[in-house]
Amino acid sequence: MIKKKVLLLPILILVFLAFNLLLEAELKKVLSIGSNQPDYLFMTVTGVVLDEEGNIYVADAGGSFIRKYNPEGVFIKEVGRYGQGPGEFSNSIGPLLYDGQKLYLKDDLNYRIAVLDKELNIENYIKLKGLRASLAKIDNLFYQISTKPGEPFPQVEIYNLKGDFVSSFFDERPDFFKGRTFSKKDYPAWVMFSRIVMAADRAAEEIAVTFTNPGDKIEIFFYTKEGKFKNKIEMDHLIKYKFSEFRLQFPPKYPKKSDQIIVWSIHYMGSGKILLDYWIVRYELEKAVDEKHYLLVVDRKSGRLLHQELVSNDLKVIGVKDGMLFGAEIAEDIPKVVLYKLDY
Amino acid sequence: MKQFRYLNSIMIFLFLAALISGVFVIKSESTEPVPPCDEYLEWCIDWCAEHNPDPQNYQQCLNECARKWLEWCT
Repeated sequence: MIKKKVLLLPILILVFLAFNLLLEAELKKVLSIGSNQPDYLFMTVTGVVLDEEGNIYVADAGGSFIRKYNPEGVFIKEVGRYGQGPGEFSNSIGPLLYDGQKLYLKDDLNYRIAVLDKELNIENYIKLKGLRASLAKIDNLFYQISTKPGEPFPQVEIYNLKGDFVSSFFDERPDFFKGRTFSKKDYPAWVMFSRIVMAADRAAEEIAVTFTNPGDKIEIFFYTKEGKFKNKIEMDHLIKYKFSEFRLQFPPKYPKKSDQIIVWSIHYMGSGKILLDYWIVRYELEKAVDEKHYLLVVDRKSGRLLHQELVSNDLKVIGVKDGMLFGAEIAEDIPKVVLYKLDY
Repeated sequence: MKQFRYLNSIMIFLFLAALISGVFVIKSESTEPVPPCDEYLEWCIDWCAEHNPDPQNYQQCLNECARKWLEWCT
């Protein structure tokens, strides 16, 4: 009897320690900025970056401004207002990038990228010749996503720092499009479901691209900074999943039950890891009855899933850098900019 | 008072003109700028992703983009 108790005790201690280790692996919120005070009030946060000193820069599309906060989240400066002139932004701005020297803010409806110094002085504008989605930068090259002329499928375009087109790459499409003939009436649905997201790794000089609406597997394609294909990794979904093809017609005729998986964004974490912002949504007719929001940490080389974590549905992941995740969330009806420490 | 004989008609005309233009302003779509048709759909889909972090709202937003594109641009 005593022997049994002696054996039980270390097992209980081990279970307790393992439980604590699991908790340790959770996301830890390190900073939250946002209140009803004017300098801390946000509308639609579309860009968050950190500089080397830990200062936080926030782009807000709803307010057409960029703000700078110190590492403790204390307001320093704001620039911008709605408009088309110098120092003004449209209400469709973002993403915001920081390359170690300058800040770059894509301003869609003014067809330009604003280049700012760390004191938020606008140094110049890079004129864009058309509307493009997303924005990434490696050295002296910008990357944006556009639709191929006459087709519903996306490609990545490379531009120089003057805004001149250099080249384009990416010729992939999700597996559920294979064997299907494109009809013009379904153009909206095909554009929606072939959407891609990308991330750039400045150190590795590499671009990662994945589908927002994956097929049977999650596929991540890697390219050199010049747009040359390197390799592809594949990983299984967290559930048994097949893309619901009824979505490819517009308007869709929803069945009684269906699932949808969305890869909202992709990020380089450093140390050979990729982070995916991954959603599983269960529908009953057109109503989402269950939404699960995960962060998936994937090994860059093998595609092996290293970690999965269920996170709040209110969290909008905007960027990842140096073990920190930055984003936006709504808490108690107040939009906030949040910083989390990634412990995995 | 001959010079005011058309005043009533002018006033009625101005009133009707103001009423009609008012109706047009109320009926017109939002004055928020949107890109031209050849860029609208792709821009709108991206806009939905930026402004709707929740998938259900995102999907509704996408459907609205498609509806408007079909209505305005085809």
